[in-house]
Amino acid sequence: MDDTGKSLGETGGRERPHRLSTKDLVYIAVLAALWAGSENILGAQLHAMNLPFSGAALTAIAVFLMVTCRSLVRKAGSILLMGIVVALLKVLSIGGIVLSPMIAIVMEALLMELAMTLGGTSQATSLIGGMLADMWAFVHPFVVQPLLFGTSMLIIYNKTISAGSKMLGIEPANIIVIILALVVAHAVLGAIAGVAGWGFSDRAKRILSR
Amino acid sequence: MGILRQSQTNTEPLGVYGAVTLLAGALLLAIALNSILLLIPMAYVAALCLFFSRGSFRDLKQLVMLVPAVIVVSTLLWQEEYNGPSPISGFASFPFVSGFFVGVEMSARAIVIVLAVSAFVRTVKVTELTRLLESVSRSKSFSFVFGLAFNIRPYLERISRDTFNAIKMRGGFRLRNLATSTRYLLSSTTLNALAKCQDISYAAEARAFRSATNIADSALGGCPTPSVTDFVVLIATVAVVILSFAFKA
Repeated sequence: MDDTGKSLGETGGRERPHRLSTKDLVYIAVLAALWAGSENILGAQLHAMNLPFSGAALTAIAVFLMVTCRSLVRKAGSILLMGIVVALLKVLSIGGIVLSPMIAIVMEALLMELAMTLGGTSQATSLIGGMLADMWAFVHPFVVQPLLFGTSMLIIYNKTISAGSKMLGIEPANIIVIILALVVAHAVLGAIAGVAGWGFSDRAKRILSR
Repeated sequence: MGILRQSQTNTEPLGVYGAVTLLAGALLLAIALNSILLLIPMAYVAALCLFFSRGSFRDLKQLVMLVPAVIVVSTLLWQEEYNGPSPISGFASFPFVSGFFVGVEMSARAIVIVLAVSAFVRTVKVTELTRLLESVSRSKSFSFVFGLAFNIRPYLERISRDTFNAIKMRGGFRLRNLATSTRYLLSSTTLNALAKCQDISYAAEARAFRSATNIADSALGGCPTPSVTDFVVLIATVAVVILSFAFKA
């Protein structure tokens, strides 16, 4: 089916692989709604409890849903469309800070889309895409805050690390090791979510086709 | 202060083009300008919010904790001389003063961006934004996906709450089985949601979704039409950008 409701045969044999069928659109909408729901319900609760790694956990859920989406709708742009819809749904939830989560959502979708478009739809690319998307959750504040406050924020970060390492008696190089360990932890969580999403989508396809 | 007390958010209609222009202009100026020149985008965004989105001033409360923290940290940690214009740089060689100016500059930039984003979110109509996105992406399906996601969200939230309660009543979500319970919750909710997709797509096609989209598209003529207010905002933004860069040069 193409965008005008005709199948490929009816459009004179012209292949239009990027056109999404009604069912594809419904899959994208439903998974986007689930992602937005998890951002709203779980995100609000984790934010209120001020728990560490809450961004990583939310991104892991998002990765799971994005991999499921690409596995069910094997067309370029499906994950990005899902991300844009979730970001717009976030706009409608007025009452909080929307700029930062919106950028995060679109960037995670973009990274996942790039990984799965360039590398093809497979378990390996869902793992790589998951890693990239979850690593973004760690990098995100360091990108958005300089955007919001200007590049002086990076110098402030640098000075805070120096002052903190002096105060705690730790070498600045060790702090970099700690930061790298956090990045790796995020990457591992993203990889697990990607593989879990791939496994789930395989099972879901079998169950749905019954 | 009277501005902040008003409950009315949109005093004048601002179309999607005006909102996009306001956001783009404010972001460009906030990123490109520094020091005392940041007063220009601040005055520009504040003036536009005053006319079109007075409720945006209320969103500045999200910076109430962040701005003092940034000013205090930069005052204490900044050691270099501040590179501001001459009247300020005279004081900037004193210890802590340069850091204070840097903190104020960073805060001013944050205020401009938060005001602009808030004004965009409050003034833009989602229907116009989706139509603009559809015409830019040349896809006729975006509003369908967005509308369906928006309408189905409460239903899916109910499914996930019911699943969560069911697992919890069976002894789930304790420390020893937290991972398994989370996996069950996620897979069960997603599978339940996906099971509805077939019905939804049949229902959409039964309601002639594809042909309805084509008729609506030809009737609406693609892009939303810019209003006079949008043109005024566009001209004002271009003037402010040119003026700002002229001052900077």
